[in-house]
Amino acid sequence: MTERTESRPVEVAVDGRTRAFDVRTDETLLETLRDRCGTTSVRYCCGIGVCGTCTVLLDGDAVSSCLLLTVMAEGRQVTTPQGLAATSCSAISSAQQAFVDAGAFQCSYCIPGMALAAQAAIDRDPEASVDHLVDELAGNLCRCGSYPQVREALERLVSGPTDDTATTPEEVHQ
Amino acid sequence: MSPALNPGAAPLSRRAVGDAVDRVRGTFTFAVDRRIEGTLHAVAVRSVAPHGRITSIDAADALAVPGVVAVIDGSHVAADDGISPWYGENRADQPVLAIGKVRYVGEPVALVIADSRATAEAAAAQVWVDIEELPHVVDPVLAGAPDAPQLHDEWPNNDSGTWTLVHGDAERAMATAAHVHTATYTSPAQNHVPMEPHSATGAWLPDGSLEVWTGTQSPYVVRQRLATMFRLDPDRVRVRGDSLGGAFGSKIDLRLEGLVALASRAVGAPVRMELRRDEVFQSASKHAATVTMTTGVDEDGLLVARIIDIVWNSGAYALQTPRSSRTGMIRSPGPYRIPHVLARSVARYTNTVPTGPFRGAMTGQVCWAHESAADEIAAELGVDPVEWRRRNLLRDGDAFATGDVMHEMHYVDLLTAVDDALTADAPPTSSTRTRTRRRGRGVAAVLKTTRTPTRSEAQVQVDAEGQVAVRTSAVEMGQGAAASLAEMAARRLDMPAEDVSVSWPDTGWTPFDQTTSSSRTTFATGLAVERAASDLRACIAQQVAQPWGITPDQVVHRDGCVSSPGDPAQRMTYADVVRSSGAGELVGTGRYETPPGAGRLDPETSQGNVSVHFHQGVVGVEVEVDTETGRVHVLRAHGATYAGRLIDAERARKQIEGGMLFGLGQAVMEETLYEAGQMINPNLSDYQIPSLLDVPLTSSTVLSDADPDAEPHGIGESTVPPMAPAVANAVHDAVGVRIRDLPVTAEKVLRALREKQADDRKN
Ligand code: FES
Ligand code: FES
Repeated sequence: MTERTESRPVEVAVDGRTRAFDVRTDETLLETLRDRCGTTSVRYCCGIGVCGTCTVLLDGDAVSSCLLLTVMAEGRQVTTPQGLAATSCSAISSAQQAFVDAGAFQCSYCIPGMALAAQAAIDRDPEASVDHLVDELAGNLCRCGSYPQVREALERLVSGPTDDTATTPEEVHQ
Repeated sequence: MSPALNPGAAPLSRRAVGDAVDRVRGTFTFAVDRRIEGTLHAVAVRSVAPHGRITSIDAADALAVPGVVAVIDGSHVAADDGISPWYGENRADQPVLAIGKVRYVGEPVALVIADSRATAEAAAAQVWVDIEELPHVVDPVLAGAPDAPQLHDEWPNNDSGTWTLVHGDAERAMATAAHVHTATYTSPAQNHVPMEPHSATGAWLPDGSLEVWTGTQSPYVVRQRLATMFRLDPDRVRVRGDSLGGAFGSKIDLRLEGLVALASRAVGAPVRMELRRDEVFQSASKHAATVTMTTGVDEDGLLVARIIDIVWNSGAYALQTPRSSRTGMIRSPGPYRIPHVLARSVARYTNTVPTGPFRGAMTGQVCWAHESAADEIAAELGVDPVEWRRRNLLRDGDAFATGDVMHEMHYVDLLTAVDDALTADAPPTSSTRTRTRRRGRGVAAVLKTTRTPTRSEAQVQVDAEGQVAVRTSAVEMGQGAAASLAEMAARRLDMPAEDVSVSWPDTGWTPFDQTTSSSRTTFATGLAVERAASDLRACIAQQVAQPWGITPDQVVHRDGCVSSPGDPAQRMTYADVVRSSGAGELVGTGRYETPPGAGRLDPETSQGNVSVHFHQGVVGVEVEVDTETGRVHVLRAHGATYAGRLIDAERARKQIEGGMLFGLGQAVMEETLYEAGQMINPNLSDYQIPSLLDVPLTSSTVLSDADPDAEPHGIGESTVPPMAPAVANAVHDAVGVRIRDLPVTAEKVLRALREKQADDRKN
């Protein structure tokens, strides 16, 4: 018989608010955010750091929360997709707006992580090209195949806000 | 209050149009986000043997782990008179927990229920299961051999469905053909990889009824299965759904719902389960298939006969296979005019993950065969493959292999649209063309039947606040069903779609819908919603017509208001109409059902009326093949489909282009691999799906019918199956090698190139 894994107190700033938890030492930040904080924008999919649906910013850098133990986030700033624009006056960030404008989602399970990764990349390099952003998002998988619209979102993000709406397919009426 | 314990609560309703901000920020929720107070957690102990007899299960160590509440296994289930543990769509061959025997690695053997998932997970590793191994079989062809290991005593020869299709006299006609082509095409087991894992929570209420929250595509099917399993009247089972983060067929029929209901029954508290990714891989699979196709053509290259033999791998349990293998067989001749067709289909149990429908169910496997064959035949005849298809594709008035006389056939136009798009101009690409990189183009077409017979019901209601709500049991899983249903209702009611809310499925409240699959929702549920909205519109008109001294059809509907044509003073909002009616709400109802007899087929020949309409898709791709590495890079893809009456062009595009990208994975990378009866790549590192870097330029054509009374057709699957053969055809066009075994990996292309070089040198 094994005992339960040992717990440890930890303090983490989640979306600007300091939270204190007693966590198992093997608890991942993904589990803490979902099970203790009720965060819905950080999501499980692969559990091994290859899909990007669990992406958060740790002191501004995009990381996979499924691979990060909560105890390792002690004293650090965690930003989730839903908290990304919490400190600004608009409801959503520029990358998120670009995804909204491009209609870049189907089921949308993968999208908050993608938009967060795109925001981190463009914040780090405001002059980044679309190709660079595509490379940055190579680790964010989408099974619905929303990639063409994601690309459009990245193009919008690079070129700044525009008015035109997302392109529609060639329509032929018989 | 916890929603599970509040049987009066109305179904979840959402504004389906205009939810983009929630979806991008991540505050839009899915089934997996559903948490209910006081819930315990269950984790399955799974078989590590592909085939064997369970000799003992020792849960003492697990039960000693603090926080563990109970461990249950198949012996508890078998001993419980209140449970009928075996289920399946056509034959009840699958136990909710293994009883006496295991038939695949990953089969649930026991459930550990604990106060947290982590505790249950840790304890599950300490349930000691002894299994006396039996010989196993993973290959469906070998599973048919007389001395093969037998999975189910009740179903001999591992037979999970045998069918034939007889149209004309194919064997005789074949003998007269000017040219005959034969080849065998294989496609592997693949996984749906919905990004959201399966989850469910079950709770027994004090009145003895069962409530389950679940991420399902088929709430009413789940309700029926649970009612049968727990010997309840279906009205005593309430199945509540939520949005799915993708499903693609993996969330159809019973998944975790039986397990959580069982666990909750054992511990007297709500119990939740959520799968890890490896468990998702172990829960459902696409059918691997081997298709041998012999085709006869006349001197002009016109098809005269086709003989098809299909062996499907149904995995350890049948689920839908006895029915769906026939559906796949029926689609196997392809969208062509063939006077004589003989098809024989057999599905076999093997000790692999049970199969289920997979986006474009049972069609990818046969499309892989008939579209690869199309190019091979054209090449042998020296005809352009697009031209060969144009000559043979079904047109209005042609008979399909079931004898159905075809209508609304648009294949030639779809093919032309794809061909034009492909030949228009070369795609700009970052990779420079060198002597070792060759480009080629390929096309492929597909025919898919839709679920027939089928039935959907809907309600559309307006309350005294003027809130309009659509109630159906359709499932929103990324295809945009909720938004389409809102728009369809709003158009009938002449009001903005943004103001219409749509229910999420809840069998306690929302009316019957067969399932959200087979691209049927916009069509079948949509027509039911339109009828319900028209019914409500008539009801509203009725309320005001008499007081205004006009007839109901003179009432003008605009922007959620009614008015009298001659008298501008006579104008009321829908809310005013409800208030003045004295009723709390006005309700319209509607239903769609396929005509009597539709879907009825002769049991021996599969002749009859197979489908109320046919899903039509054509895909074209341009690839670049690196002859030094064999790597296939798809540079661009154009998809075309026929939508009937189009509801929304933007969502249609996402389905058509997203479908091609889904198909891309099956074409060039995906395969679940088995070694010693065990799946060896149940994770997203070893089983890769397309990323943004793999994605070609995509474009699409949607043909539609401008008639406002035309039927909408489903479009969510029509560009998935043709992707793989289009890629293989393009690879052949580029480098002259033919791959007949999916996926078209770099290794296979490279090997074929080496063999071709060796052959070329010899000649
Ligand atoms: S769940 Fe963390 S990267 Fe996939
Ligand atoms: S939109 Fe569904 S997984 Fe990306």
